[in-house]
Amino acid sequence: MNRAMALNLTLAVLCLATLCCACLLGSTALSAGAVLSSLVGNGNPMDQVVVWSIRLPRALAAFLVGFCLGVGGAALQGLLRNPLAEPGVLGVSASATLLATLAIYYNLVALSPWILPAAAIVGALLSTTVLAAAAARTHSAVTLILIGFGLSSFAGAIMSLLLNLAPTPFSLADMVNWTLGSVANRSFADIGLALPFLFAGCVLLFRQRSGYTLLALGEEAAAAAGLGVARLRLLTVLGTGLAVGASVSLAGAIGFVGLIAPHVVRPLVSHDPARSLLPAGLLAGLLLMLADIGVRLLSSAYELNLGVLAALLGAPVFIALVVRRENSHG
Amino acid sequence: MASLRVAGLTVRAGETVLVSDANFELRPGQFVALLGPNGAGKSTLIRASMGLIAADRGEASIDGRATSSLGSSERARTLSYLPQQRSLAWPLPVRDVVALGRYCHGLRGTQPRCADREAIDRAMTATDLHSLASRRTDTLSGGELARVHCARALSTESPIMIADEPTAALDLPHAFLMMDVLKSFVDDGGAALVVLHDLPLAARYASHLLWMCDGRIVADGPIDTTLTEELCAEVYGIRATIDGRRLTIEGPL
Repeated sequence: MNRAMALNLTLAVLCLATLCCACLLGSTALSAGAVLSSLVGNGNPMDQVVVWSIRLPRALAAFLVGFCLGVGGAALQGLLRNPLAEPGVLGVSASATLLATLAIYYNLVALSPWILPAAAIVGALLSTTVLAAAAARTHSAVTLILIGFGLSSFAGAIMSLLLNLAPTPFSLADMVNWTLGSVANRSFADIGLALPFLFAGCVLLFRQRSGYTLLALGEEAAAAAGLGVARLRLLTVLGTGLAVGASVSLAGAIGFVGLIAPHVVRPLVSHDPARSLLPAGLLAGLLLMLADIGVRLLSSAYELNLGVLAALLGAPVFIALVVRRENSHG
Repeated sequence: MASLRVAGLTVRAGETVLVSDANFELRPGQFVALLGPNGAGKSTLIRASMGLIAADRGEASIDGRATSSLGSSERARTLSYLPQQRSLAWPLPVRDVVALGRYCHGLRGTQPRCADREAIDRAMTATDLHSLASRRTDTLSGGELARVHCARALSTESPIMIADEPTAALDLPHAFLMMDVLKSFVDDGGAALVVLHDLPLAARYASHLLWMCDGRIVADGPIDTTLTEELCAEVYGIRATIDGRRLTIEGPL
């Protein structure tokens, strides 16, 4: 068994263990035995409700959102050949959140439950398209990050405008929750709405993974070596749009996990962007599940948002990465 | 074996003509040095010849098929390209970079088939890279990294190789080593088109010279007819003395 496989296996086992842990923890004390018997479908009906309707979907949502962000981050980094690329940093999550919020604000979600993921995906696609178009013209990583920053700020400004105009305090609180990111009170129905897009997006990205390795040579050399660069760019835009959009529709904007997870796994897979996709997804899923457990343990009276915790931990890592990159480039 | 034929190739960028009516042929066993000052259109010519950028007029074809009409993998299998840019986005291990040359043969991931493994090994032997196989590319010297890229292009085992200044920024031993590798590729029946700025090096290794100036090919042919003091003066504006295959640069005109 090679190192990449061992890494994936370890991460998968850790994810499973964390998922079980997440089912154990909560305001209602449940024994491990009770959780286990509820998970396999027999046990006291009250415990079953707690496990199946509250804890498991929440933990699963955290994992899926993390997985998407990790895979999306690793794919964007591969496409843009830059370790600082990430759905949050590049404004993809912010744009998805904006469109999702618009859908809530204008009550379009009442038309069909599919409107919410669709809106988030459209928002994500808009920004990935802008970024990919810009990446085709510039080779400067700084320019791309600045464009991402611009996209984030723009989406943020419109969000603020919406918040100012919010008709009722209720919708205001709703929208704030979106921008901060949370997986509290998610149900299997919510997951079901995001899952097809999330799955399609991740599959699309996984199919492109060898192309990211070839792109390490630079676009021209990669094209000459047999890579359809335009196609790769298009499919990556589509894949990240779907995966990140779906994750935002499930949990709102959660930043930096898509940055940290690929960064951590990269040295373990010989810095190969192709081989980093799966472990980055698993690690990001694991991190978000752990962060969500942290959120639940830390805040009993006031719910701390998952996105806030992710940013608190992730933003310093981002800054450290930028500084180190600056040093290594003289 | 395959031949590259370029006929009436013209490339414009807006109003500026970058390459004007270029005609040449690259056959198996030929080591063609493409010479010309900066801005003469050499890089544009090779990019358009490979079908990487669109030509405004004319056509480049391999055995009668336009390079721009070939699928990207098929083109890559016939024609490998060694670009000037050597920096890598990620510090991959040496062997992984060499293996990228097999992408166009369908190699994905890290499970090479027998043919892939043999081609990679041969390319690494030709460039003397076995001792560096698992080194990270960001720990290599400029010369070593140039060899890695060369091995990557060789591992494709394409009949044609196009190299854009493969000796740029290399010290003399490495420059000779690089040219020796390309020479043995040609001796094995390959066809190489190599952009060079080092005239003495070109004079020493090339079988044919292709001189470019202001977007035009001004001379093309076997080295005994195209290695002349007049062309050195006309194309580069330098005074050179030529004695057989030995070219000595005296200074500016």
